[in-house]
Amino acid sequence: MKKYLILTLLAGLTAASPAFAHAQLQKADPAAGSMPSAPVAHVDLYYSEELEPHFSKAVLADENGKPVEAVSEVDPKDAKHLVLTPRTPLESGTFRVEWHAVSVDTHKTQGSFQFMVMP
Amino acid sequence: MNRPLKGLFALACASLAATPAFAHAIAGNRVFPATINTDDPGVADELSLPTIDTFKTSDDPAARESDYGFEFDKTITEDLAISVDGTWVNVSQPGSETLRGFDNFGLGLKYHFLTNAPHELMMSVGLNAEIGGSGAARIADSYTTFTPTFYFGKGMGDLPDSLSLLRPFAVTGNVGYAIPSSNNNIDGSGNPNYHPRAMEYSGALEYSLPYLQANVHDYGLPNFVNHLTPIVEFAIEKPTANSDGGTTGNFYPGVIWSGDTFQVGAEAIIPMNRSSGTGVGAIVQLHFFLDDILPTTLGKPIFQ
Repeated sequence: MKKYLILTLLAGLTAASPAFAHAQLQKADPAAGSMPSAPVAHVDLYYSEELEPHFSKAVLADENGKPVEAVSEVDPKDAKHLVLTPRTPLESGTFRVEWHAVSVDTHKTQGSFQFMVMP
Repeated sequence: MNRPLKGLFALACASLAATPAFAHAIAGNRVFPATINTDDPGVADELSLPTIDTFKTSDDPAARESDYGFEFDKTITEDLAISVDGTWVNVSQPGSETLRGFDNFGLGLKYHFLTNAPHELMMSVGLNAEIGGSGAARIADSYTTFTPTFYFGKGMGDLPDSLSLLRPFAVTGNVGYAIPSSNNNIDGSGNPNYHPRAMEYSGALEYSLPYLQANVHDYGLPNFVNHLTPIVEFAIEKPTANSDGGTTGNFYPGVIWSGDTFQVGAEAIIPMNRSSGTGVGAIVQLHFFLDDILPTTLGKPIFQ
């Protein structure tokens, strides 16, 4: 009986909905460390969990650390997708993305990566 | 089950109320996984069930020991947590009766006092107590051992761009001093059995593929691989008083797979010297992130 109770507990814990979890960056486009061809019109960040739009944001900076004007927005059709749109498409150079995410269950995560736009 | 343990379980059950859960051990971009033999530097709501190991002891002839353990950690506040752990021990030696039973249960208190996010640095202090007499008489010590402990973790995310492929590395460590509640006890023959004091060191060197993929370079590896953290741990015990024994310890090379709500770890157990064991053993662990599974109930601090 005790074995069945333990197995039931473990099964329940492992099968728990992933909707309640930290939002980890699963994919980015351009990807971390990549060298996409110009122009780069937007940076797409895809997370493991849905984000709180008002508390999740990404910013862009050039290779000198100077901020690059861009709009950060959680996709209204897909709360796991955050889009960073520079005011003007990126033509060349190394750029750094820094993001802060709050998942729908209020867990906070952050990350940063670079990519180099090839002219 | 002794009174302190009953009280802690009652407290844990009473925490079933809704409040946002808090993080794993996170410092900036770094998530320190819950390693098997080295306690990570953070405080969190988590459950290790089970932790199973098997190895041969240094006895002659060597005995086969298999352990089945659990640990439950519960946050009181965002920076303070308590823990309770227990292990079922099975020891079989050729020519001897097999010993089975619980080792002493453990209680812990841990306080996180420092996080430096840009440098991925985290530190905590704590006090652990192995409650004497709470385990089976033929397996567990009759005396209590108190171990004040320092925990730290440092990620390498602040390395320069020229060393970016080293950024996924992190090191964590524990330093503790085991102090028995009494110096000795007298056995049935009237001889004193001395209770050792010892320094306890453990550490982990880990290379996080999730960190590599998200923060350094996405090589397009399979999703399963992007959840892996190869790791090497060590644990050493060095007696400082009341002991004729020398330093013992093990190395634990292995890997951790981290998911959204749980992680699985598997490591080999390699004795550092002849006194530490015989041959290679193994240890596996299933670990649950209660702050992600039950963020509004058991997975959040009692006081916020």
